Amino acid sequence: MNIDGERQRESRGPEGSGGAPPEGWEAPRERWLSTVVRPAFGPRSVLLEVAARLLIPAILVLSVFLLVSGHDKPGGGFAGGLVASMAYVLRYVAGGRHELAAGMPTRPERVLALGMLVACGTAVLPLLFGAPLLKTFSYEAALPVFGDVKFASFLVFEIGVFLIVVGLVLSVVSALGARMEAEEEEAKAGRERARRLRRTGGGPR
Amino acid sequence: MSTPGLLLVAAVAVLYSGGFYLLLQRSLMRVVFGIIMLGHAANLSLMLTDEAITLPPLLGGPNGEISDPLPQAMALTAIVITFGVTTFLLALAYRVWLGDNNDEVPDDLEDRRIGRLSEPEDSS
Amino acid sequence: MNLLIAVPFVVPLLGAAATLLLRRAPRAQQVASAVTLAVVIADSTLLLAATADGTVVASQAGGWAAPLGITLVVDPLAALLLLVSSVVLLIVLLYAIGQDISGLSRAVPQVFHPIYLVLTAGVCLSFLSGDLFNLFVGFEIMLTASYALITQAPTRARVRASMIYTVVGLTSSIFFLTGIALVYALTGTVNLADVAEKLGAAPAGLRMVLALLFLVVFGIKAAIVPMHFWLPDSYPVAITRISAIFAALLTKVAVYAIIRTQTLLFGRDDVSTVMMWIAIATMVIGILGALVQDDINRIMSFALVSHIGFMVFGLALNSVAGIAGVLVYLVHHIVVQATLFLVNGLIRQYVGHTSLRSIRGLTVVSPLLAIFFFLPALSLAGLPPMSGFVAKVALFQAGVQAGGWLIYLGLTAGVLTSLFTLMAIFRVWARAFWGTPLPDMLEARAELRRGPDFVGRRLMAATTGTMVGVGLLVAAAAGPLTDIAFTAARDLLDGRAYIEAVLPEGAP
Repeated sequence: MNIDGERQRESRGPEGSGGAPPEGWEAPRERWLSTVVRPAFGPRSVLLEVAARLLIPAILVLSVFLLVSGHDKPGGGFAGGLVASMAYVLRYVAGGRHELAAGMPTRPERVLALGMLVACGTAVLPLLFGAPLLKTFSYEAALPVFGDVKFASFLVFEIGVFLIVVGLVLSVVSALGARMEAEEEEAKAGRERARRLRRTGGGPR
Repeated sequence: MSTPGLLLVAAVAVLYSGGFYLLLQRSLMRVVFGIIMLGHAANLSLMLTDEAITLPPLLGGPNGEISDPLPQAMALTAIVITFGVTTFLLALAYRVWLGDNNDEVPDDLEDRRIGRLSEPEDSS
Repeated sequence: MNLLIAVPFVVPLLGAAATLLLRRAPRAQQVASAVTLAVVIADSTLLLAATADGTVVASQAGGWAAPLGITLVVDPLAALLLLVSSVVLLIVLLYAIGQDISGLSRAVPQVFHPIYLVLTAGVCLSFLSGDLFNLFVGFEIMLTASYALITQAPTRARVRASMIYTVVGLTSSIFFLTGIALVYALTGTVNLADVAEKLGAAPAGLRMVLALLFLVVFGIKAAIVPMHFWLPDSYPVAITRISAIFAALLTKVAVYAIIRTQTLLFGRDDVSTVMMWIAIATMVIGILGALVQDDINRIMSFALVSHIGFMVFGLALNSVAGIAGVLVYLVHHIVVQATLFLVNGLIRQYVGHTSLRSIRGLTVVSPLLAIFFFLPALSLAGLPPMSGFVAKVALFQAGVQAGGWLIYLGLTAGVLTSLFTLMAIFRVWARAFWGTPLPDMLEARAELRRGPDFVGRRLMAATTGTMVGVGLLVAAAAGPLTDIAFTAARDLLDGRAYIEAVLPEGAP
């Protein structure tokens, strides 16, 4: 998964601190580590960033594994979705809100809505064929590489759940983490102003 | 050996009483912690309904015995719900803190006005 | 039939997803929400038509037989409440759309529509659910959506109110969960029909404890008296559309849950003495609270608490006539409360608040508004020929039939409460509607008339008028309504039809 590619360069914009980045042929195609990191907590930690860079693809693969194996083994869409969203949370912890925004595939509400459509759609579909709600159908097929594969329609429902969980956690992180950071800065400025007013005695009595 | 011991029951009791104690505090953070403890207490008491809770669910233990998966499924659902609402509560507590710079539950102004109605009229 | 039963909660969820995707296109979003609710109304009409003769239909999700799978059940009670709720939900939605068009509200419509539809799904799931845990899930969907809705357009007072609302709601959810754990430990099942069968073998004392625990759980959410303090504190603060829908539906869903659990699960146990005392306390304390308030919204909230007492009164009678009276009362009260809160929203247009201290002469400012307030308010007080009169007569008749000193005490409390309600309403009428209007109110009216947002305001007034009309319709259709209520009450007290529909082969 390309986590530091195009989007990251877009998001640099006004945040690009310090000297201008190298341009033209000097510009690196793709950075292995992000340059615009502003961690949410404390100073920038290279160790955490490298670990996040290495871990995130593995976490995402694991989440897909959990999603697929969920039919009759531990796992499933919910567990998979939580693991996948942990990858993003890790990215947020390591890189701050701009990194999180750069890493999201699309707006979190859209992921959430898509998941709800998929999950509810699969739940309703059997009804149109006269079967009860949430009825599952399964097919078995022999594929060249994977061997015998059982595909249950429940998997589609689980994918919906997966998307819902990812969308929900991402919107929570972006609403509570990222927006709160901005609000806190604002409130701090406000309190500062109030204190200055009181000290000079210019405030209303 | 596989029945839930007295310890688990005691844990549930402690969680319930601690949770309700914290719930009755004035500070919002304590209230949130109280809710979290009560959530754990309710989930643990769901676990207590199964005598064979120490066995693995679905996959089968050494003798193929399994524990009852239903309380665990219910507890999972309940955990999700409490988790979601707790994050919401935290956000609210944060907002109260942003506004007032403390996290106490504020009084209701209208209530206080009506409370004053019962006090004797100006005694001077 | 499977399809019909699933529609009321699946379609709103699909609608919520669609409105989330349409957040850039407000007009499309409004149309999507309205269409969704219209579908739910059509569907619940069909459900009511199918069950009006007392049939109970169950649908097993995933094809798993009853005690194992998720069961959805529709009986006359559920169908009736589904229909009334969806009608009220649609009208309040249209009112909200009018408010958004006119730009009078600070709510964020992009957020409002999806959450509102999720709330709808939760309400419908609560009515349809055939097992205790799904009832919990339905409640939680509804409550979580309501926690989010009550903070719309956040001010300091709203954040404070929603904090209280959320904490109280969560506490009762935790009690609910504990109750489910106890029921499961006792019977090994959470399917309502199955639990009803198996509780018979449980010790009577234990059953009584469970009955009281569930009374507390739903009592907190229904705001019956020792557990009512949160309601007048939180509902009046929310924005109009939210407090209207909360006052109309949320407490009624809890009353529905009380009816369902106390008749189906704990029908053998007699908690009616406790319930009668609760009913008396709820009626009297609620309305006394309303009399000292100075804010129309708060007066209506206290009146809401006190009128929940009437429903508990009917339930405590534990007779077919009593429960039928409760059902008629439920329908009447859902419509009337929603109307009154919408009218309060219209009042807010002129003065920006609903405090009696600085409102005068609304009859002069807007005669239509006065009519809109007057009709439902009389209905709330129970004057003939409004729907409140029909409902109260049904309840009082059932009480007289049952007899006994405690019931007569309850009846006295009921009559007194009706009188006090009338007094509270006339206080509002005399102070807010009569007299010469304050100059800034006339100014506000002139400004509103000049404003570019005429369409939206027309829509708001039209929807409020429709709601008043629905209230009159309830009174006009009292005959058929009472018939359905009696059928539903017989089904509820008997319980066999419900159990047989869910468990056709008997309990395992």
